[in-house]
Amino acid sequence: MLRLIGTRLAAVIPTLLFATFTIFGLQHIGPADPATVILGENATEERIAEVREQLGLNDPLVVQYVKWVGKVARGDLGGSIIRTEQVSTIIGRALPNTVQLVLAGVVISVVIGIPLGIFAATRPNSGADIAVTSGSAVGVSVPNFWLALVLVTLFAINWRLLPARGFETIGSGLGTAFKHTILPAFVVSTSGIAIVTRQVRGAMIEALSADSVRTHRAKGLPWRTILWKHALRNSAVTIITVIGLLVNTTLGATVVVEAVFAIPGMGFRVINAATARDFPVIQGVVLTYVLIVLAVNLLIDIAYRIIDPRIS
Amino acid sequence: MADETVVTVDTVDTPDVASAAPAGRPGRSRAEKFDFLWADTRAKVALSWILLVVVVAILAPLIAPHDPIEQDLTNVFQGPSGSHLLGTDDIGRDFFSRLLYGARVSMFGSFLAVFVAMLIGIPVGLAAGYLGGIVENVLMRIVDSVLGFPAIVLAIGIIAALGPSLTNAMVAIGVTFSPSVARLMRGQVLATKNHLYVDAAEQFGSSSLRTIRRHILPNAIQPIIVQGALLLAVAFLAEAALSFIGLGAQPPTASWGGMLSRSAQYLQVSPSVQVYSPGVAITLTVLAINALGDSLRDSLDPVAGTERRVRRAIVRAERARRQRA
Amino acid sequence: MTSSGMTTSGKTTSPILEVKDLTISFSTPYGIADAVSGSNFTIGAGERVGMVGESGSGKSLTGLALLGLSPKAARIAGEILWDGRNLLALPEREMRSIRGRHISMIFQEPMTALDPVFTVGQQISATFRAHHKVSRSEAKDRAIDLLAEVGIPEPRRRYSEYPHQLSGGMRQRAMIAMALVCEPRLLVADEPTTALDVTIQAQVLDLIAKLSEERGTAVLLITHDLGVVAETCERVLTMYAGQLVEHAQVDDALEFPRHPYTSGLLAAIPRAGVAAEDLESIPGRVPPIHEFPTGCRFAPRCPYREPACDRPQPLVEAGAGRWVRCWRHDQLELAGAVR
Repeated sequence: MLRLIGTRLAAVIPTLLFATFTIFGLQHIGPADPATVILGENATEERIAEVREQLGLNDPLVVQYVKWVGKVARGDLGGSIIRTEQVSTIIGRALPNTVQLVLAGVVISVVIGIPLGIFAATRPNSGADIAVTSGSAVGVSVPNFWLALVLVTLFAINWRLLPARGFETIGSGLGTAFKHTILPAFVVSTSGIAIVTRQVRGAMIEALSADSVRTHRAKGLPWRTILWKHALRNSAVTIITVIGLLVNTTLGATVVVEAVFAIPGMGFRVINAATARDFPVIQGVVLTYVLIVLAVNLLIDIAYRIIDPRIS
Repeated sequence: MADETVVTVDTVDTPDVASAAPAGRPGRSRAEKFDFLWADTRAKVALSWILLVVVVAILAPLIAPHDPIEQDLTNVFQGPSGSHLLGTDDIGRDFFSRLLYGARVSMFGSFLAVFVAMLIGIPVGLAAGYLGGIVENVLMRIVDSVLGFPAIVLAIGIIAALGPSLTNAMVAIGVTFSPSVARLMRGQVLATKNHLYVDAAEQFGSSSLRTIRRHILPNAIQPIIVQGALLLAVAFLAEAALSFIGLGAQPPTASWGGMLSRSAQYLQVSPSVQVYSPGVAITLTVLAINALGDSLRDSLDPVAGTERRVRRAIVRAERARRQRA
Repeated sequence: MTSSGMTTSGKTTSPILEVKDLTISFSTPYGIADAVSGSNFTIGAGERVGMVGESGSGKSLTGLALLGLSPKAARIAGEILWDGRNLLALPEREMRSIRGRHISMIFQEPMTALDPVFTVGQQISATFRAHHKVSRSEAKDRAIDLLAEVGIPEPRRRYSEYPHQLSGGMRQRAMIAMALVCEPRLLVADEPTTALDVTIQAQVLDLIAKLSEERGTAVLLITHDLGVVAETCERVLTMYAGQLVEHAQVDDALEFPRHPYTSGLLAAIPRAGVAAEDLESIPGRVPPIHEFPTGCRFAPRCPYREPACDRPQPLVEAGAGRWVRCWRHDQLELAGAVR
């Protein structure tokens, strides 16, 4: 088992390398010189040269990269340009909010999507199935920030059931956390539900049309058992793959939704940072996102090998 | 021994029922490939809506009743009226005209993104698939790494570097799409390469670059087109989202996402039609593009398409029989 | 027109299964067409009956119909009598208690027919527990017993292995174990050896014959290979294009076939001393179900065709316990198998 984790980790390293290089390179691909960005347009040439020296911008690119990676590995993500805080502090504050939102979104997507997908798969091409498929299509097509607006109008403004903005983590009590999380989590999960439903439906339909299902019926097994014990197990690999995709999609969705609900998570921070070209913050946040995605994919990779006996 | 030479009547090589159904043979002519447009109601409706939006986008300057950026601070947050079909926004601009002009931004933006994705993805995929070896390995590693980023986040990073503008935003989105195009292209190249391998060894001797290109590209193009359609839908949503958070189309340019952003800022006082119309427009358009993409995919995929055709033929035959009875 | 009252060599058989006028049809874009038209046959206790035909003959559909596993789109008419009850009229719940318990089925490709994510032993135990209230360990013991009976070495170890870890022959044996664990009275075997190595084929067929003898289990062996039937069965039913065209004792049918199709099938059996190119295959193919001729369905491919063959052909008696669907059966001198 340990060896398994080790090999998968090793496989991740090139990806990580390239990702970090990309993240590092972001600030250099633009027309703006990082020093100018920091000092503003009216800075003197001397001042710019000074800051460039300070930031080590005159070293060759590779050297800068290595230095940067070194700092990051030690947890030093630099200081924000527009705020007087360390990037790591900012991220430390924002991360729990985003994680709470993503987890909630993923849970909703899974809890609604899997049963819905199974339901549709057991009656393909029926009216109910078409309804589910069409619903999924709409779910992927609705802009989530607009859905957020509509729901906020209804639930917060018109009916005054839920707060319109702000966020509370579980630390402040389950009840308040729930009230603040439910609406954004639902919005974040709309495309997730659609994706999960579609994939589960497809996988189950395929599993149900397998030869082994005919054998199970020939043995006299009840349909209930065939569906929940056998077909579902055979679809497990696909379903787990979807969850990986789901986390990636949900993470992306949180970025904009945090903006709508003014949730102080990483998405919120990265948007502010982008508008102000605060590169250290951008880099820190993007790096964190990438690490999360890689970690989740790693877990899923390991889960595969546990679940499907054919993969050794 | 049975006397085979005296086989009297037609020992016909009849096809089975499925392929005898109308237009079910693989490799149909170009015209038949577009059959789906006429036959499929969903595709027809979707295409009409998309064409409508495109036409509106092109003709916006001609059909918009007002200048979309003309302000009138005496006339803010008006509801729908005769002169302002959807009312005015927070600085008195005509919402309806802005809605029409917004179509341009969205359409242009999404096509740009897909174009960029293809521009980068197709050559990369082609190179990886055709050259193989180290080149393929390295390229695919890079592709996989880029796929590891949540797309919007990477796009935001790129926009931060290049500066917020519609073009930069859509180029950034295109870049985040290119890995999936590259993957698909490479897969197609590999599939065709294996196909031709046996033939090539026998018939062509040393397979020439041009022959392979002549065979690979036409076959590969179809799934790429389907993927292009589906990416177009995602790009459309992405443009709206980026404009919403201020990193896409910049004010005073009218974009559906941007308009929603302003409605959000003044949620309590904006006329509700202004909160709904851009969102509905986006939803319908994205839905239509997705539907078109799905129809395209079904018609180009021989299995799914044939199954549907046979099923429809059976239903038609049964209905006819019931009417006669 | 029934074929009861037929006796097999030596044994007295009381029919346990009677198929009467079984017709299986489908909706096609060209109207409703029969895939199986008016089949009639019986199977006696402990009998081994072979059903032979090319693909498209309707033999697999017949087998599936016996277990109530016909495709959803199939419309079935006629009767399948088991213990006096018509299986076609039974509600699903009752049918389920018959499947696997009284009538079992094994399929062609054991790799896909077995569930890849469960162990072989679990699948056998599950069958047993579906029909008998026993504990897990009792079911496990019984499964291991069965694995030993079907000739799988180290059955206790194999119990915990997955299908992909077994060889093709062993997988098929495991399927047989699964099918026989509840001691059914009838085993339907749909092309059980087609996907196997030639050397393994003989072993598996021997196993089926042996188990059938020992337990008195009747077998309906569905195959396209007359050679397989010759090895294991007492009676043979030849199917063509949805119709039974010949019905006889195996020895009679092989030495003195009365239907041109049976004769043709015999000529196509690979045998020692005959080079592959010299084997004669029957020219042409089975037509799709909506294109079956109204007269003799084999006529388009028959070397002995005459204008009268274009009339619908009934099954006629051609000697004791023999039935043929060919009006020229007594005129033709058909070549049989050289033994």
